[in-house]
Amino acid sequence: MTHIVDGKSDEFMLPHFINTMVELGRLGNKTPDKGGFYKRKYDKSKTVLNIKSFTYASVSCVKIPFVEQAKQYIREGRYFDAFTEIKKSSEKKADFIRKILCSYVAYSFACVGEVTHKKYGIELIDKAMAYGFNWAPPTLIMQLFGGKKEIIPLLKHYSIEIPNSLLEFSELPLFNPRHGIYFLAK
Amino acid sequence: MVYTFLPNEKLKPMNQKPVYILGGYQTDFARNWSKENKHIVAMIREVLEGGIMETLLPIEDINAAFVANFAGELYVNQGLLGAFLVEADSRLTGIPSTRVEAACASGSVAILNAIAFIQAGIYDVVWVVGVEQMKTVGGQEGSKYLGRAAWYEKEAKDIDFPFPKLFGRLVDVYDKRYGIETKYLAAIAEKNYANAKRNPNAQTRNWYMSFDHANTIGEYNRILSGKLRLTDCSHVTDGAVSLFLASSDYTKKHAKKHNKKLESIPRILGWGQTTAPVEFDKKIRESEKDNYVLLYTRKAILHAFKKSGVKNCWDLDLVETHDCFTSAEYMAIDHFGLTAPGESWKAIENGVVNFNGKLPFNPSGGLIGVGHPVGATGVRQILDAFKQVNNTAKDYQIENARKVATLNIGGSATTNVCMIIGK
Repeated sequence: MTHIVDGKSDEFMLPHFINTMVELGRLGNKTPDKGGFYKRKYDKSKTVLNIKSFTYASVSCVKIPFVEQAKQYIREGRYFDAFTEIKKSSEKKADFIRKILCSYVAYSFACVGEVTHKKYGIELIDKAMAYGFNWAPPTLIMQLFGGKKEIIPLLKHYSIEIPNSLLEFSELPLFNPRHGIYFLAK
Repeated sequence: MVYTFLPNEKLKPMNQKPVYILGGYQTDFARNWSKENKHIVAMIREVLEGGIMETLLPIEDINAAFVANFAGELYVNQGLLGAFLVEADSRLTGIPSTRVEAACASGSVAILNAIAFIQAGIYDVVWVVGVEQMKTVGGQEGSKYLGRAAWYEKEAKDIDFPFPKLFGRLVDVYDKRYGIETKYLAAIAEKNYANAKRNPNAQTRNWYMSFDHANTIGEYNRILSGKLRLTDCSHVTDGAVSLFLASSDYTKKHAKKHNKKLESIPRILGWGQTTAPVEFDKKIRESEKDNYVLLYTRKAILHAFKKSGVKNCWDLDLVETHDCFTSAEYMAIDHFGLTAPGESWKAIENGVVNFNGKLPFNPSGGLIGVGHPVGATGVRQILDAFKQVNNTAKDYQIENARKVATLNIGGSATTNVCMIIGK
């Protein structure tokens, strides 16, 4: 990993449980008898890895109310309402999602001037994320969170460094209805 | 030459109140909304939001709405689609909204309804949506659904892919009466795929097609019916389109507000609508003594010409025609009068209908290139005609396009609607 020069290099490190899985030879489809993240039992039923105990347990369909509601909004094309669900939920899981999305926005803005020329601002990063990775453009996530005025306090809350390019960023484009393609209702 | 209908009919150029097109919005027809697990209301919501952004129309100014949809009950288990227009934005709650169904011509018939209400002075601004979500089922099942656009019991029940068979028989009729070489059908497919590459909303914009592929029968291009091959067909498409139509009084205010001249805003110059017998065989029997194969399609075109003051096809700058199959476009070429009946091949061979030809057919890519979400197609054609006349079609803009015809047919050319858009 040392050849990667990136402010977030540490976060690209494989988590410990992956190393343990490799040591145990649990390589997924390559080792069906040992399993991977999932393992099929003799009756073909699926079990899932518990990354703390390294045992397999039955897959249980967990329904998280705020996630289900957000999915329903996305299904109906109500993307702002879906994000409102994520924003307002006091569940720990929602906190996790918010932190991930905020990190994504901050990381993307930090790439301005490094991955793309500064004169193109966040616009080219948006394109790289959208056309290169098929991810929602970072400014779209920021927009759905309520814009700069709402995301900056969130970044502070999660102790995420606020890039200068984000502080200098002044205008959000209008919501592009075509961007609904980046959100799946599942 | 025999023109069955015209001599006995009293047709005058349209003298009703003008109906203007303020703009609209099309979804990306390459999208698979079922894979996104989206409900049909998400499609309607997107075309409303997109259309409002394009036209800068205050949403509160919409007086009424029509939705064109063929088979929502079958594809997405949802009827009462008129009500879903109001679901797209709570500010629309309370306005009258109506669903219109005329198979593949649903879009055009919905627009005709909107026009009638505007001309009657009942509404000033009408929102028309065409929508169809078709990728919810496999091809075989979907073809059964589409069979409902024929006389189901007589022409589609227990028949695999009934519509390719019906439009395959159209090729047979041309072959019997005039002779037809399938290389000309392949040329239509090649042209429409090529045109679609210019259109950022086209389903096939990133697909590969060549004349050789379209003209070859084999493992990758099998015969579907008669002489029709896979490449002669349009595709299963998820798509929605919105269009905003307005009265003269409203458009004047709208134009002033946005520093435009009323004369610069495209309008509907005229239209023709006909209904033929439902059964394909009956249509063909009726046309046996005529030079034209589909009499009611020809009639709709002539009505539109007459009502809009178009002398003949050469008054037009381009045509967006119904090419659910290449045979339908082949038929449209002589029915619009580019050639004598049965000689459409000449216009294809001479490049008349090509993008840079004398009268381009389907510069958008048509149904074969753009896609064919059944209920949305008629609305899409008018939106593309609007873009051409408004000079906003970008990469598929035909230079100096001032007058555009659309032809939208439902069933086996049972419902026929031709419209002329211009300034």
